[in-house]
Amino acid sequence: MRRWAIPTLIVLVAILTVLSIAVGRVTLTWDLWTAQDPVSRLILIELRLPRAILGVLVGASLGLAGAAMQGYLRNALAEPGTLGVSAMSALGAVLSIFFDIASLHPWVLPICGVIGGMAGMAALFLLSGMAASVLTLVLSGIILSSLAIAGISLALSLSPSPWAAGEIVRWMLGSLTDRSFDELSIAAPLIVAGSVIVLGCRRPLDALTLGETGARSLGIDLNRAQWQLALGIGLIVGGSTAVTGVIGFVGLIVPHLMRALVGSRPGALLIPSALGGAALVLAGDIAVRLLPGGSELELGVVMSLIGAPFFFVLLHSMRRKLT
Amino acid sequence: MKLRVVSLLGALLLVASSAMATEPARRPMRIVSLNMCVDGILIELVSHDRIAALSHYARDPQRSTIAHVAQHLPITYETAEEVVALRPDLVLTSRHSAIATRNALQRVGIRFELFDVPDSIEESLAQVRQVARLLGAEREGEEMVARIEAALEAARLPADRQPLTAAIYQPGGLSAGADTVVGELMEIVGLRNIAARYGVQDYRPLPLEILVADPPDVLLVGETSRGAPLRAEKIVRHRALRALEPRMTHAIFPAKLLYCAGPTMIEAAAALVRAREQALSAQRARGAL
Repeated sequence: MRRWAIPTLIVLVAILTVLSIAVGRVTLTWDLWTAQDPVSRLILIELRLPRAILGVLVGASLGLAGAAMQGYLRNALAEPGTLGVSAMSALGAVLSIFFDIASLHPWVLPICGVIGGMAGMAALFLLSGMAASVLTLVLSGIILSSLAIAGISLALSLSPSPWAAGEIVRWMLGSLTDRSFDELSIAAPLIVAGSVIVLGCRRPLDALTLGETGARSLGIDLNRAQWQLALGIGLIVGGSTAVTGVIGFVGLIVPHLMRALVGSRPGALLIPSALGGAALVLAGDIAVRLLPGGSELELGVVMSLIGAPFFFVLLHSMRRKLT
Repeated sequence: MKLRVVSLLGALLLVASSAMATEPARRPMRIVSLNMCVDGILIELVSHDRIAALSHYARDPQRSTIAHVAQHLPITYETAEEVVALRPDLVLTSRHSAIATRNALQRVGIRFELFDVPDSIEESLAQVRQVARLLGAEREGEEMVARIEAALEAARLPADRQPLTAAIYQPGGLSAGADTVVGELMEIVGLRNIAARYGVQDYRPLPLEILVADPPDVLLVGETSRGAPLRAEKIVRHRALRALEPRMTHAIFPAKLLYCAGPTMIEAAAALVRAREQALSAQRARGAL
């Protein structure tokens, strides 16, 4: 592990946070505080600040969850969405738009998202049983995902007009645009709690590199570790999807990036992955606002656009190294 | 007749009570519209110096009927940041706009009004009046309503003529049922919307197979850009549809007339009348052969 990795990442996240607050469609002047301009201050505090904070939280927790999933399943293809909780959370939010209750109060949509995520987690526990193997856990996740996607597609296909369908699609694509402290205050407790729980799994994750029997012989309660991880990741993914929609690829590529920096010990990978995730999401959200022309692209779209080719290059270089 | 009077009274009462409830304190002078259909109403009701911004759709000639005017007016891309920076005193937006943006406006304390997609001509005219009231332009609103009603009356099928059957087939196969504004307009003009016969309500894709099995007299096909019948031909270029050409008239009904009601209905009714006459002359030509 390189000693400079974590400080560099912290500095990077700090710079990107400042940039994220400074950049936008409306150009703010430096003498904001002295100029007595309530509108600029409003834009800064009510619109850009929550957006930046949410970017840090969501990015960090998704990176963290991705690293933990890949460590636990010992599979480089795992990501936070593998457990199906993010799809269920999206379904909850989509249903609130579909039944037109989302416009009643700003809190309705994120709370429905959280309820969906929690229902997904409950279903996950029920489907795979308490003494679940890795296989049943992943399969249950895949079942939940497909079920949730089917539900979302049903809502889209039953929506009464192209406008109503458009509203659902735009939310689904995932974005941080115009999020407020309301949404932040719903998501933050869940995300922070989930992150703490996941961070508590560092020792089992490290032990698991020796295989399941090896970990058991070190005195690790694998069953407990599994549910602890599932709970933590469920909280993270449910909370963040409920307010931002689906932002993919972060949890998948960030751990791969960080492995090149800090080595592949899962426990040691968690914190750098969190920092890297925050940096990636912030950078993506800044790019979304700086891209020329038209409406803002959705962050989820940009993430996949950057993520897929990048992942391909990474895979290519890894393959060369392995053979 | 009696029923009509009662419903009219009801509507009046409704208008009166809601006017009392939402009486604007003063005429808004910095108006932002985030909705394409409200753009079309707004631009005709108030002087343009009171418009702080239209929606970005307004400038799109394929979707908006006011694109030429909107070129000279400011627009936003529907982010709260842009709206707040314009310091508007009234924001008009759609019930289907981004929820996060609406929440942000609410938090910041900017007054905004939501507009539904109208399901009928009556609802659309009520919406015109609602916008006019919010803008403090009731007189202009009534004039617009009168203009629309006159245009619809002029487009009405003469009583001595038989209606034709018709269906809408837009690029991508989207159709509109009889229970939509366009469906009502078609009924007035004398094009019986038979989408319901195909199981289409609201805005739904129309299965080609069912359409071909029982084709209407007129198929109202979309037009991607102004005066481009050749491209429209390409969009509806399925061989099955081409085979029906001797029996079914293809008439142009641009997609932009489908999206909005309000003053757009004037143009839509005119397009439908053109379609009707085109189909009739085609039928006569066929009869002469």
